Amino acid sequence: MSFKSITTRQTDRRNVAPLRRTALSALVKAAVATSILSVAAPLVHAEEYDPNRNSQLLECDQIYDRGDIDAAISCYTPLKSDPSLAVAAEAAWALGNTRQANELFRRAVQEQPNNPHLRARWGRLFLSTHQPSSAAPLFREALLMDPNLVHAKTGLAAALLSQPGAEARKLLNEIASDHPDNVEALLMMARLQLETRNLDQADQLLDRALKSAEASNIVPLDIYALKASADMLRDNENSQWTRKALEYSPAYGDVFYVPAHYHLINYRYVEAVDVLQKAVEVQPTHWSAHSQLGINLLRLNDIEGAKKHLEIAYSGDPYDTATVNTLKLLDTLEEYKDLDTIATFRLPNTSNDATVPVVMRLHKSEAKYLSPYVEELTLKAVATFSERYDFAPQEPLIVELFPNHDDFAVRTVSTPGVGLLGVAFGYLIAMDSPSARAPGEFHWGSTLWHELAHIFSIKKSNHRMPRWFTEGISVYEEWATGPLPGRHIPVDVLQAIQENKLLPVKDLDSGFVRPTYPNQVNVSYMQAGLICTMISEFWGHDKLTEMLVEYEKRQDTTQAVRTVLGISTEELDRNLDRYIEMNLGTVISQFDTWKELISSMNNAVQNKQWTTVIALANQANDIYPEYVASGSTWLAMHDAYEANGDLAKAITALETWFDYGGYQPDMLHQLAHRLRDQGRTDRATEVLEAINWVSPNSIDLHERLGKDYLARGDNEAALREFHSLLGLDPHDKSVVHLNIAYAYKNLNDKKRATRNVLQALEYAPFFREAQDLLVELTGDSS
Amino acid sequence: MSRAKLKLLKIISLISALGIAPGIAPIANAANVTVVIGGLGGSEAFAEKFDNYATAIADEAKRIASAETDVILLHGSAAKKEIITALFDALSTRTDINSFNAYFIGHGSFDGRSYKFNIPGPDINDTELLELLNKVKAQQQLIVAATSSSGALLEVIDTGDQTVGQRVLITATKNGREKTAVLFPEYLVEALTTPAADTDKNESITALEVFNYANSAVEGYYETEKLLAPEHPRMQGENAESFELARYGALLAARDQVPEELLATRETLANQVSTLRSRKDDIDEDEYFDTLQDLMLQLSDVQSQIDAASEQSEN
Repeated sequence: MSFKSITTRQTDRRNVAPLRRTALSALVKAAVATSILSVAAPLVHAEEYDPNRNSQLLECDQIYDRGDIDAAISCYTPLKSDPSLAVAAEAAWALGNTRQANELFRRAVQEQPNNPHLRARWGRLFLSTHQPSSAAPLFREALLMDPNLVHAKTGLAAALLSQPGAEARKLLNEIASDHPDNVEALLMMARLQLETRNLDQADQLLDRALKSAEASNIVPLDIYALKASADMLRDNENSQWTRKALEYSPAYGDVFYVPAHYHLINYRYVEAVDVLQKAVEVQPTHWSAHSQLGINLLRLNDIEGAKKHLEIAYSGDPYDTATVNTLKLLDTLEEYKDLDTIATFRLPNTSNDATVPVVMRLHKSEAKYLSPYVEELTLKAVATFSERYDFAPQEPLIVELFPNHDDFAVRTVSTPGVGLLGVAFGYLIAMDSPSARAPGEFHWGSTLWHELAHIFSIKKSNHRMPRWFTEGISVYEEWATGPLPGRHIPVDVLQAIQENKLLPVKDLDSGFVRPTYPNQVNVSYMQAGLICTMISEFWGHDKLTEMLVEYEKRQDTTQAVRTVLGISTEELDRNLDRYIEMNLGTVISQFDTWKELISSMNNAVQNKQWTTVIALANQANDIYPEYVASGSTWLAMHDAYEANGDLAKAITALETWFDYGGYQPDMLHQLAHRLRDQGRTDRATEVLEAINWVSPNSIDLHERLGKDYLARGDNEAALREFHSLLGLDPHDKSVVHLNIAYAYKNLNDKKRATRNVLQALEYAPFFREAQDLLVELTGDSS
Repeated sequence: MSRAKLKLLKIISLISALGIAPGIAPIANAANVTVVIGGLGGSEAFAEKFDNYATAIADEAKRIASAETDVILLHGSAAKKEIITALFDALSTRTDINSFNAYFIGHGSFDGRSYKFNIPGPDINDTELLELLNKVKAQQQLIVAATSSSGALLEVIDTGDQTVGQRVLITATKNGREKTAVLFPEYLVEALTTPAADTDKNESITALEVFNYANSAVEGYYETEKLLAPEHPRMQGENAESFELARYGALLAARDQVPEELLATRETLANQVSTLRSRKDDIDEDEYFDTLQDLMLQLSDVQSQIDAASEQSEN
């Protein structure tokens, strides 16, 4: 069913869809949807913890909480017309009509502009509709009126948790200190602990929450759901808390829906789907659970199953952007083409090859030109990683590349506009295709390599490795075996290292899940990569595999490090300090000097003071020659030498930049051109080949490379380039077919050669070179 | 003498110098006439670009023109309204024109109602431009408006009006609202001056091939750079392939020496190939390629004879 048709169908049912618990669950769902981004989402169930809840509303809440949905609807409905605008707003909200609720709150606030509680409640409405940035100002206004309004403070903490930064934690600590029994704050803190698998701490917080809820007669369902989550993280799928919750409210889908979040942030999509299935079984109207179930079935490549649950979700909640976005994406999937191939690999200490199917899901507009490179890198990755991690893939690998970044973003986190490049969902990986971004904006080959490495670390540990470890392995593999040479550490990460912002390894996951400063996720990626590289260099690569095995046995980082490396995590941290000192010590200790040199050098470039440029670049290179990003010394030196007329040195500078892993496509094209002028065609070809992994959608690139390979007799490579070139729909296809014909002729494939030369002549009947080859191939010399 | 009369005399003398004598009786042989007008640059950089483009187009046209005087280039201060008008008035008296190609290179503007080609002094608006073009009596007329906003002309210049002969219009933009300076003329010149545009490899570059090349290059540029394309070239009118705009190789060197019958045979075979291609989906694939192979081998044979005739004339 297309998205348009359900749009029409669903609007009629909107007004009768129930409601309250489902509306509340949207908060949790937001946390799930954004977790991969390491951005926290609102964590509270807004209505539950309003200490000033109107008694009529409370009565309805209790009916709802006991699972009698129809009776709850009957209870809330008349309250929509309550003379109190605040009560009417709450009733509309409970019934799922958030627009009406918003309007009613607006009017209520106009009526009572000095009522802080009203503003706090209005803020909660924004929180529940995934708009924390609109919610936060309302909470702040409420707190200006009443600095002690805890309901506003907890609301603000929830809103701030959706953004990176330390303010939310600070606020939570403040609430916990002033109001140690506040259930809502305790739940938020417990969730933070669960996210980083600090299960004992989470349990302690939840026990306190339980005690406080009992004392205050607060509905304990959310506490039960989090208790069940903690049990699930301990691999106890038959939690007593699940039973308790269902006894309290048989239709309480959140007791499964909430734990699903923790499966998801640990990459356990199969398990999450199982749990979400249970959520919709006990509560068929849990639209958010249907939505998440659909989204995660899609991650497992079950497109039909995904469609079914997303359509159900849409039928009940047509305003859920995750559902709408993903349904739209499903429609666009028809524009994609599945290309099948087979990857061959051999495990260590075995003598036989094994195979695994690979499906490349590429947009029809770019499948032809991109597939040769996706296939080449994927097959190489499977062969490399299966051997390095002693792991045989058990299921087909699905590799999806999206030319539209927003489609990829929706595929990944159900919302457009995120900054991710690629994501691995078990055996399925999704990423931006090279055409999704401007040329040179990212090295797509490295991204693909990184995501493919995830498959092996995630699956080898049966999804039990911590986030930092799988990211660390992927970064380490990018540096060690990926298609881009060199170790690329951004300047802001170097600065963070210099400022001692690295986390202890046992807390490193929090750098991904709950960053406290803007670039902490990136810093954590690099730190994880450095740790894995260090383990490989100090103890040997196999120790990484052994750690995956330990994680699979459900050991945590402290235990795995102790078992495999024989040291404590504190000692590992000290080793990392030593490793950084050995490898980056020069630039870290002289970081400010280096930055000043780069800044002065770039000023000199602006002013065309070429002698100064060269002098400053040389000084900077003494400190950190590996820097190849924007403002690189090597590029500046190239410009300077070129301006001074010293072409040989200009080319050497550019070659050094390339050897360190520089990948700006226009500069690579220039380097290849210069090398060709020097007669160094093999080196020029090497440079052009490197462009394929950055910006392969260039007609000139494939044309030049194809001709180079043809000239040097590498006919298979030439065919790859020419076939890719045809996929880019070049203006003159006749020449391409002729070159393909030459390559086949060289491979003694006369039939394909003749067919291609005829295809060349189809486009260009007067093409003499093609005519000559046809005569030669057919032996017709008349 | 009044200033107006003096000006008119100057214009007439300029046009005479360009090889067109107003009022002179038509000559017997059909001519292909090309007019290239380089408009106002507005800045030094654009002025230089427009001059270079216009000159390159005129040079290419001269290489295939029967007479150099059939190619008229107006640019810089010469591209004034009164001069252009006088030029078209002069051309209106000729009855020997088979093919007329007019290129407008530069900036165009559009105020929501009317397109203007920017030139020194008063601009030429779309109505005036149409009037000028309608004056020229030619079997076929190609108008290339390689300016910003030139797409506005698509609604003004009627390419279906057979009273002015067969007409093809190429514009750099799809409508008048695409107002930024265009890349199209750069690729237009590239198409005219490189064999790469010659997709059928007959050593003759037609208006269709030029448009396809330039259009594809413009699209490719914005696609590669991930920029929102501010220009979308358009072509309107039938049989653009019948306008020969450039030639290269042996054909350029010695077309006159090649026996007409060989060229005719080549054309016949090419038409047969074209017919076969149009039926490709209805024919068994192997049978299609077998037939194509036979035709191509015959074509190759004729081509060899043409080459031999060309080489002989060179010797």
